[in-house]
Amino acid sequence: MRKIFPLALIIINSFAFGQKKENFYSVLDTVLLQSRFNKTTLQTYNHKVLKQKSLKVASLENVLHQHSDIFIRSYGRGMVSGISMRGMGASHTQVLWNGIPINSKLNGQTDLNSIYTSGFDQLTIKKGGSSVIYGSGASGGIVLLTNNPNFNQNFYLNNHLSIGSYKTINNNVTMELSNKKFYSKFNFQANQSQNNYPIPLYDKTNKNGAYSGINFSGNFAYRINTLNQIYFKSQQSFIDRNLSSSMYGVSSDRLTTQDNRYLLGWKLGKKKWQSRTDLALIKEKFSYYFDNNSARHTNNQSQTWVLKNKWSLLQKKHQLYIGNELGYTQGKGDGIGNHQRKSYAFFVVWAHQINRFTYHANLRKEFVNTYAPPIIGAFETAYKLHKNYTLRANISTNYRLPTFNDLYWTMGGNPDLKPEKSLSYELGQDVVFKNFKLQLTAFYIQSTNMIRWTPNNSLFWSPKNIDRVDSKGLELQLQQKLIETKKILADISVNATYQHTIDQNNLQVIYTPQQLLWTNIKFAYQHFSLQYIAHYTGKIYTSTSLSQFLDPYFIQNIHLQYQPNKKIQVETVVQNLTNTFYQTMPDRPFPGRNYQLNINYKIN
Amino acid sequence: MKKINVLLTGLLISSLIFTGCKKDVKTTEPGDYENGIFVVNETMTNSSISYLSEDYSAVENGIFNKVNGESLGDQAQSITLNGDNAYIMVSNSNKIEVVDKNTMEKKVTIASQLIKPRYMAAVDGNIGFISCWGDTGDDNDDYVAILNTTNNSVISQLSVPLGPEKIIADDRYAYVAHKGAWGNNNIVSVIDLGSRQISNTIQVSDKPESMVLENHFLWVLCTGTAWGTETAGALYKIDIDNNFSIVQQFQFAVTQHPQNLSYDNGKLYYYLDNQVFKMDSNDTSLPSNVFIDNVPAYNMSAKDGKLYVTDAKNYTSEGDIIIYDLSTATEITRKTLGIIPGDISFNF
Repeated sequence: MRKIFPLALIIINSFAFGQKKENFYSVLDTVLLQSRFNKTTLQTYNHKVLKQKSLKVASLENVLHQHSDIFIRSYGRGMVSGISMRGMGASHTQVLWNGIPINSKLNGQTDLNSIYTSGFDQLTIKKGGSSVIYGSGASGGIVLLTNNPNFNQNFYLNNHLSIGSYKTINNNVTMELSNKKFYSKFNFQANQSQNNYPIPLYDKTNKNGAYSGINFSGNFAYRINTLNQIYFKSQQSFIDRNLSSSMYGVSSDRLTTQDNRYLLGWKLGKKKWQSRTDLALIKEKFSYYFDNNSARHTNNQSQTWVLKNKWSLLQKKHQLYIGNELGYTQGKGDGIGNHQRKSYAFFVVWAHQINRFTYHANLRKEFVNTYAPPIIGAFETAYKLHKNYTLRANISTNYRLPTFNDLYWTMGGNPDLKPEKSLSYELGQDVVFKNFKLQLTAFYIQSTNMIRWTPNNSLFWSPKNIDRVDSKGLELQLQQKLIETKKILADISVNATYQHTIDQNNLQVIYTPQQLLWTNIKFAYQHFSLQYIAHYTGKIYTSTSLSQFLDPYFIQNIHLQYQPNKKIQVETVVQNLTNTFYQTMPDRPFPGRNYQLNINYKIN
Repeated sequence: MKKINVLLTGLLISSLIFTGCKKDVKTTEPGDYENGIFVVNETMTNSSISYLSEDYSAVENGIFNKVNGESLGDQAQSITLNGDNAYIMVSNSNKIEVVDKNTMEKKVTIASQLIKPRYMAAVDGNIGFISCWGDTGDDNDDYVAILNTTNNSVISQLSVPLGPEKIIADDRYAYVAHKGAWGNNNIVSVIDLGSRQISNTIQVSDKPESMVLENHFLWVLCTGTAWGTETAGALYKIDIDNNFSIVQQFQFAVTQHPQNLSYDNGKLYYYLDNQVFKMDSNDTSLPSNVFIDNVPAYNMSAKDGKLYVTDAKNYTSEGDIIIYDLSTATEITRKTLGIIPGDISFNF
């Protein structure tokens, strides 16, 4: 039969950010930097935490775009998109759902527009290559999506409705009910868009871009006694997208992605020590239709079972984590045949605070039936020179296993591929005052054995371990509170990255900008607030000879919110205020100026 | 021809996707493309046409975009000259751009009844036969579009087996090599120009990739399958006048996958494993000696004592055209073209 190449193939520093406590101007998603070591994790690295309020926008791409300077490569609004942290590719950032890696086993990436975020309690972005606790495949960084059961004796029902340009509607309902013993939370999200946006500067409209999706998550926890708690977490999503034509192409193709994630867990222990045992099932299924009017399609899917235990000793000055993980993945489909991967991993993390000095020593060894991956490790340190000044230095190694597509794709899959390897260094400094926080991090990632698909004597494409990528850069995170009174809040946040990512020929890696800038300026007065968010992305080269590139772009968004009371919140958003033409992939432009109205209503 | 770059559609968001935005060194006057060579640059988006003057002194890239002020489209595949016009098959844009072959000025866009147009053979001065893949998820909707080149409209579609690719014609028949699109096929369809129906089907080896006509013989070069269970390449000499009987089958080894059969002045040329081989059309066995070594041919075409070879390099940067002298088997010159230079047409 004819072999289709489904798009399905194509198919994100050590500051701690915390959430400001609710108050009358809490309409703002106030993300503040945490100035001390967290009690439960002796942090030596750099991460950013977003809480539930920020996660109501439709997809992971929307959330990351709104809250960080992280570069996202996307085939257009709502389309297949991948994260790029520290110059690395989408398959070098691992996305974890409640601690379980969910990057596709088929293509190694998480499509950010296939993850709906409203059901999560917390999103954590951690840049850098230290991922011992979480697994491998994260030389660029980690995104953690988490549900945190609580026993706060809470009840609420929340509805968030969003109506936007291009007949876009997104609604999510969240219900949480808990008492001292029992916790439950449900979230249902539905989303659709005609997505037929006019393309700025061109007499063209985005074609074949309509999408819809539904997502359901259900979370339960039961406290048996002070020592024992069991919990169940689940997420089901089905996203149905036509795949936008390029500006000059004609396409009628369609991609559906179905994800089913389940986790059953048992937590044993108290404050000083804990044991967590999780059994998880992660299923993914991609169906690609060449013609959206036809039922004819190809399927590729995988299911992964993970059984893991993490044992933690939590003392004030030292912590010990020991983990054991068993994994089994089956991938099958029209493109990859039917293949299995079995793995066992062991990790140990020792964290220790000696006066002003904190260090983490991490080691992880994985055994895979088809490979012998290297032992990976990380050594992370922080030294608090002054109450306002901390120095950090980290070194870590990582690897990434070839994906099922890399190994088995018809045609071209190469079963002889080796894991990609990386070595990362990071040096950072944090300056923290009451109203001013600054973090500056330098990183350097050396990656070898990088897998690249190359034409095999122009007969067929096949992946080989040939590339070497060096990525170095500087990251700046800055937050300045300008005014804080009972009625007024004003602050400014800036993230800026300069990264230089080069291949073995010392040329900038394509599809990877060198300059990124994000800024968020907030002003709140009583029930009103105004946010200005801007992004600058530098030149993106698209040919390895650097002769061709996408132009730099500067995008500005305005959010105006009104929250008369704690129950209701109304927000209007203007995106791409200046109606600028921009794209992250050639001939895959984003919309010009567009509008959104968000209404949030809470009953409790 | 090679459509493998189509595969890349998303394979590698991170490293391997092509684009446009050309910055050219202008060496000719735009709009003056008489007496030269056109090469199609097959990039996934913003494909382009390069021009090389007959004396190799001038190169100009992106000429369609330059002359017409618009993008050519996605994954242009081939260019065929017919009368005063050049027909550019733009596969992923489902269209043919018809331009004046001497100025590149656009005359008309043919966008109806064309789904993934690949190659065109012009016959009788007013008919074009165009191999089309149709829906790439459907093995049974491939067709040859029959085009009236006088008014540039598709007259009819002739349903054909999977994967029609190269198409050539003489004064009686059009010959369609079914390479099998992204799959595999092993036949050559013969279309009678009078009835415009398939009159014969010739069974050959896997992936008939290129064809040439010499007198009353049709030569077909099959690549064989190169991935998975390999099948051998083969060269066929077929007698058109004797009911398309196979006069001789030249067999390659199972691991050998020849490509790019070309003909000039009684000699056949083909490409195998970075080498060019030459044989006489009367030979009864494959040549044992390498004719030109270290030739990075993505595509090649022989004409008037010269061999024109395109080198697609890493498929994500500008490729070259290399010209060899067939009498001495030496390189004459090389010039930089666009990204993934493929199909070649001679306007002289």
